[in-house]
Amino acid sequence: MSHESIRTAVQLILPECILIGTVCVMFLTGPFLLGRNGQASPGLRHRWGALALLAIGAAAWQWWHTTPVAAIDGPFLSDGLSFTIRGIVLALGAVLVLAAWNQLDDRTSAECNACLLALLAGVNLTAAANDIITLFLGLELVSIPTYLLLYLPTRSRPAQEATIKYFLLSLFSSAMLVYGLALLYGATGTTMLPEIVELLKATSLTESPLLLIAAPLIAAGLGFRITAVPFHFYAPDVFQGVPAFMAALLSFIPKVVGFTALWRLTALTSRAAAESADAVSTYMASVLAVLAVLTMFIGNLMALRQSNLHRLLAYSSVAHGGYMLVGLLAGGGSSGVPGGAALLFYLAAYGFMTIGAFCILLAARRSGDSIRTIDELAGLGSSQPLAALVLSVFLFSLAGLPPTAGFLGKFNLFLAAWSSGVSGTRWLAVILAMNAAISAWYYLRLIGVMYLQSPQPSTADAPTRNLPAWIATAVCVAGTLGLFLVPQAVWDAALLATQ
Amino acid sequence: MTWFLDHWQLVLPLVLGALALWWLMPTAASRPRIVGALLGIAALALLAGNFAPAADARVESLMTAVFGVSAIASAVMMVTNRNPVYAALWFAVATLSVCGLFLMQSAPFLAAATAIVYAGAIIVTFLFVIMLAQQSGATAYDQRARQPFLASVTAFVLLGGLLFGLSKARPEALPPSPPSGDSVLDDRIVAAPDPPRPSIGAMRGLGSQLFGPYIYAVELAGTLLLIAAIGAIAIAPRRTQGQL
Repeated sequence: MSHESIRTAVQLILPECILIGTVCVMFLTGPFLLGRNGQASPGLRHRWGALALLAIGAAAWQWWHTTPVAAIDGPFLSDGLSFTIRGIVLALGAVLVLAAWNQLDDRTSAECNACLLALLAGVNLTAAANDIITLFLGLELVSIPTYLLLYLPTRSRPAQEATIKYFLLSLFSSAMLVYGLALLYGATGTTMLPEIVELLKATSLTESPLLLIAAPLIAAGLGFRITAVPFHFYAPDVFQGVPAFMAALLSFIPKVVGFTALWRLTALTSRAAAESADAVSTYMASVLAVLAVLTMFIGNLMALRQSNLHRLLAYSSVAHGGYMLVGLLAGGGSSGVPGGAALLFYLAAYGFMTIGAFCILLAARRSGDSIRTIDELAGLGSSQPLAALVLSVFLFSLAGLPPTAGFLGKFNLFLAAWSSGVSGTRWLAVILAMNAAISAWYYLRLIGVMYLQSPQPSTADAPTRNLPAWIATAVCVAGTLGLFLVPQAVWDAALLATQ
Repeated sequence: MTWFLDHWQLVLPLVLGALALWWLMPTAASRPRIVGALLGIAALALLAGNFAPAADARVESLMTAVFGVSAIASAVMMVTNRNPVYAALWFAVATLSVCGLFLMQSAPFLAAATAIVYAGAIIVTFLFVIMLAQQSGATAYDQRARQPFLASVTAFVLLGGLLFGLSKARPEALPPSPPSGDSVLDDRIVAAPDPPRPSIGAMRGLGSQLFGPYIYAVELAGTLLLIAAIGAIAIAPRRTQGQL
């Protein structure tokens, strides 16, 4: 282990080094800016928020100056997938910092902003990981700050319940994942991902039945992150109990990190699977295909009956996890749209629309913390026309209607599944289309409530303007419409990841 | 019977030691302590004289059996016990038995670390939590299993899968078995142009792996612990917030 090799390795993760360095600064100086009795000077959160944005900006600047290279043997990868995931995560991470801005307490804002940055670094490190240990640590670097963020901003009873539920289930899922990874190591004798992929190409299931046990355990552990169906139970309760920015974060960040890890571990979308339809990946694919179908149907059907917007968006997030699984399963077909690229494009689009939806609920609140029930939406079209219009854009996008990114994303996923030429994935494409139709019902119903029902008499005073949340919303609107109008740059980046 | 005669050097001191301990136990009837002490001294003397040549293959398989059976038995006791404190202590026994198995597999570091972390720290934490949470005595829902049927089925399906996998796993599909643990004692500094892959189980192998290829993982784990530690402090309520 020479200086030279350490320097080359660190070069590959410079954006993450910047983020983690800022995390340390925030953690270690934050407590000293509080008074003796734990009181902060008002407005301290603005400074921490600005520092977080600055760090993300610096990381993004570093990211922009990296060029993706093909897979290597070192500890970190800087390939197309990690390049694209980094871009998506840094852009939407800045939006999340803005959304969290005024929901944070001045006293805990240093820790909260540090946790936000740490989990962004965790996602990026998962994408850059080249061995299963770093991959697992990256996933945990997302989980642990998430537990803190669930409880630090609000100490209410619902937040307590949400935190405990998420904490315990997340621990179980991590345990299952690490069990699966240990068996994977036992079956292959190496922790390096490229070597594992090579070995898996040469191994059949009968030769190494340890993989038979490892695959469901890994799928279960990561299924929790992407809210695939048997592991989705926590989502509605947790989303309901946490502030809007946390719900936005939970609907997006665990999905990104889960799909990145699945992508790396299954190698389904890589060239390996395209070349040889070997037993291991077909077995894993059949496990995931069942999850995808269940996830889409149960997510959408349960969402039909919700009256709480956070619960509704939680089930919608479950369903979207199912759509993305279709993209992962469609694989890198030799012709047509590569499923991996469709998945990445959809991740970017979904990030903008779901975070945007939570941001506008936050920005357009009339009383309290944010808009939480469908009744509060009634008559928004006349009382706050701009907010209603913006929310409509996001709901159109979530339903997959033009002219929004959601339409293009779903269309890509459908084409990818259809053009892969396998009858199983074609069925997935049909089921995806059916579910998009089901989901349109509950998204469009919200638009109907906003424009057709008369507003409730407002009891509370108009709250102060939440400027950062409005900026975040504006960025999300730009993203949602921009990915439809000029999708080429993002699509090229997504294609880069599948090469 | 002949087996016991062949191995009296090991069996006899153990039996004597056990007798000594049993004699010394505090029971209702008081016994003369000198008998126990003499028995114990005899056991130690026999053991000291005869321990070195005792470790042959049959003893090794006996040890494996003892550790394995005690691991399984104490795990069963842990799950089936009604008293959470006893369950925690049985968990310690299970962990220590597994540590013994690790030792038999030439993984001394893993055994030591597991003993310190699980049998030491985790058990103490468990006991603290149980005692803090149950100051008014055990509650009804602690006395019975919540989902006994589902839990058993799940556990045994997993166990069945594992056993099936292990029974079918061919030797070459397994990782190369680590060389025996004597690399700890081997004090040559590795300077060969192509050093052999160090054994992960032994201390030196582990160290050179941790601070070689896995240095980034170690640093990452350090970051993780920093976040967890500071997060725990931040989550704890302050005095001004009414509690603690």
